Amino acid sequence: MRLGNNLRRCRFDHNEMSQEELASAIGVTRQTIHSIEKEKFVPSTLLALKLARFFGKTVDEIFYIIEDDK
Amino acid sequence: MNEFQKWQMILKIALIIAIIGVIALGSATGGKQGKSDDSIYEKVFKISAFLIVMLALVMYLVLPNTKIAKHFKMNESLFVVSHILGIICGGIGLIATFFWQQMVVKTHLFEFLIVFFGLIFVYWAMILKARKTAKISDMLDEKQIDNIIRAGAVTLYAVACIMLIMFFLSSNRVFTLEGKIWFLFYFFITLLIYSASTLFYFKKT
Repeated sequence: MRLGNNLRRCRFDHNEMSQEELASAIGVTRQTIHSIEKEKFVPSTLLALKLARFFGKTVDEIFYIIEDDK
Repeated sequence: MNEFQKWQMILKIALIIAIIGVIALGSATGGKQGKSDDSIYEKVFKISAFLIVMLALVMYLVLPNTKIAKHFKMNESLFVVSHILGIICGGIGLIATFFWQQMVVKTHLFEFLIVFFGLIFVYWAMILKARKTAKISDMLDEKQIDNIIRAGAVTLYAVACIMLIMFFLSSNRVFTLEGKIWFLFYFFITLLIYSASTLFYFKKT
């Protein structure tokens, strides 16, 4: 089970925002946004809520659970 | 205290340090011969080290309260540069400690590398002071903190293993580190592994 996200799509829907611009608006580094998009880093609840609020969406519209195949 | 008064205070402190430096230099290079065992290099080193530490202290105490503090920023570049500097200082120190054990102590290479690396953390401390917070988590983002924690764990296990290997090599007289060189070896290997692993995790995506 892992955490997937639509962050990349949200950025593009939001005036094709760059990772750098999003990072700056949220107050994290570009590397953090990049790692979240690549599903290499699981953000804290606080950061997930900040991202959701920034895009005007709910958390589960951006983040979702991917069930692993067994 | 307005901006003008602050700058006046900075100038006064700088002047006092300069005067102390000149007096210290004068007493080190002049005076009666043979009174001290220190060579001229040793004296110049001690004075330079004293001046650098004093300057760093004054900068830390004064600059975060001035308008310049607005420009103090903790960003991705500073985080990366700090750890690249850690890799460079740790690497140079480790090579020197391994191949030129006596030279590291005689030339004070250890102290030079610490000062060089330490100055960037004086800047980190200045940013914290300017933001009026003592929490480093306010300055770094959650991924950076996560990277530091992982790097800390890697460093702990790696250094423990390396020190164990060195201990066995030393016990069997294959390779020995004399006296206080043990500490320098420990310090530089920790610095190198910690900086390299933090940077590795930070860049790993």
